Amino acid sequence: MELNEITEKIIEYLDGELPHSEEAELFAALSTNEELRTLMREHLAISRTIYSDATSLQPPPTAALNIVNALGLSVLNNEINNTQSVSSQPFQKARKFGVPILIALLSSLLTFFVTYYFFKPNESDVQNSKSIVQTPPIIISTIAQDDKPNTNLSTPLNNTLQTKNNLDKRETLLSEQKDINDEFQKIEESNINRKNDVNLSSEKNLATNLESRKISFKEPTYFTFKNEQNKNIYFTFRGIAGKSFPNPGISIEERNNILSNASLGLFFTQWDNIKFGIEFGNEIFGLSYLNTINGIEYIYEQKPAIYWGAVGIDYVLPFEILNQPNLQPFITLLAGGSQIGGPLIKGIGGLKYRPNRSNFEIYLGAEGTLLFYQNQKNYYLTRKIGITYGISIIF
Amino acid sequence: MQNNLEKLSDNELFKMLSNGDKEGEYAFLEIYRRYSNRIYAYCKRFLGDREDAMDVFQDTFIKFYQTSKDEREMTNLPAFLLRIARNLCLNALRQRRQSTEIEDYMHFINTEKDNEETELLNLIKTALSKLPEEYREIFILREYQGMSYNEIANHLNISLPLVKVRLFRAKEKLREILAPYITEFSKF
Repeated sequence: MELNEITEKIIEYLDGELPHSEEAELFAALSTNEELRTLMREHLAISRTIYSDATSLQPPPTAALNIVNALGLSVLNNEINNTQSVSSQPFQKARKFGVPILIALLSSLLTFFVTYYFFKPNESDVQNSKSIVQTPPIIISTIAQDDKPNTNLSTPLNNTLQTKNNLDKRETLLSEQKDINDEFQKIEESNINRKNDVNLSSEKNLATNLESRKISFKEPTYFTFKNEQNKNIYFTFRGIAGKSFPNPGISIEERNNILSNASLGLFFTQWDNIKFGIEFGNEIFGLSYLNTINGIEYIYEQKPAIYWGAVGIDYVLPFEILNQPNLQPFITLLAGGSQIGGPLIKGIGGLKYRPNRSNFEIYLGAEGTLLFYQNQKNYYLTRKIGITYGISIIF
Repeated sequence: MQNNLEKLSDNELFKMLSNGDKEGEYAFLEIYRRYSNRIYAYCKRFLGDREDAMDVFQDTFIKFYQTSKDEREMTNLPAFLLRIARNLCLNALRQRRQSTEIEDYMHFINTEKDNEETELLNLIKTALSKLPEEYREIFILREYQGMSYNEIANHLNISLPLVKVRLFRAKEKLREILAPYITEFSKF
């Protein structure tokens, strides 16, 4: 037999296509020819490698859902979901959830620290006031109830009252210590020692404010309404952990800082990657502002829990992270106002992860906030940066 | 429901599929489970490019579902699916050639980023991309679909000897290209 003819038989034998009657002839040729045996080993190596390749090739999990959606086979959606969850191995689950969460966490931390150093906390946020007009402050005070009293001053509010750093001013203020103490005693006597100056809020409002913050920690109630316009509706619940600049050194509001900041939102898909919506939240902000009493300027520092509301736009960038089609970066911009009267702007950037065939997505990112407010005709700005984490239920 | 469908033959599933009701949808899912890996492997290795393969793979099942209502009898369901996939693959290749010929098979090689890659497998894919289309197709049908020579002949509507000749040439061509590397690998 010629070499080509024998090679053809080797290939047919490896493919299981060689008739039994011809096998003996092939084996005889192989037994006497090392070159043929080498040739057979080479074909076998190729076949084995390709076999392992062929058995490892599987369509991406999203393919089935894409097909079902394209054909409008709604009945199969749940079935595919169930299949997916049953067939998932622990490693796959860890890879599916662990990797995106880890990446989101790392990227958020990185963004946080970069933003933190970019922002450079500045203690001179409170601007000097030249005004002597005494206007009632509009800020609800949550001045610490259990703050340790300042040993130099005797009134409960003294630890939230700081004289300016300017030494000249400090000397002036110290010389008027008696007047200051008298002023605070008047405040205590009028039973507004937990409010600013001539605060407009009552104890009831304060209690309601604190109580409502507790309520905001509860799990969100998921709506069950149908989306009639075939556009997705996102009901979001997210927590916010951040640091304000200025950042008054009042400890009472910091105890539950991570848990006590949260927001609820409702967004609608307008285009593929763009959503519009509204969001309401309650957050603790550090405030530092000047208050003029009897011609004397005091710096007031507070950490009230402030309600805010905003309209927003959410854009999911069309990129995949680590070849994971479900893991995508996003940017959200919110603009609105707060209960203390000024405008509020928020920018959020991070990563979203939506498990295959699920109706929810989780996200983690960095958030920056600008809160504007006014007191006694002066405007102030509190900046806040931090991380945000949450979940969106998709209808 | 799904457990019961697993026991049904392809032909029985296809009849259920033709009904188009809820049972038909489950039948479609069962067919997808049975043959999606094979069809995907065929598309992936025939086209090379992951995105093209994914598009054709999805289009194959979409077209299969849409045409299932017109087909009354189904004698060989996987072959039917493969025929659809093949036509779509050829269309995709034609479109690719029209757009760019230079990137053609470089794309095939460069877009492979799967974890399952080994060095030898990379070499095989590179060599495979250099084969003429008709050789590569027969090679894929044999090695990736596990089709017999007769099935390939029927599928491509060519004679059995032609299948043998093309397969022989395809495999020999691959071996010639890979021989130096295979020798290296065989040392370990």
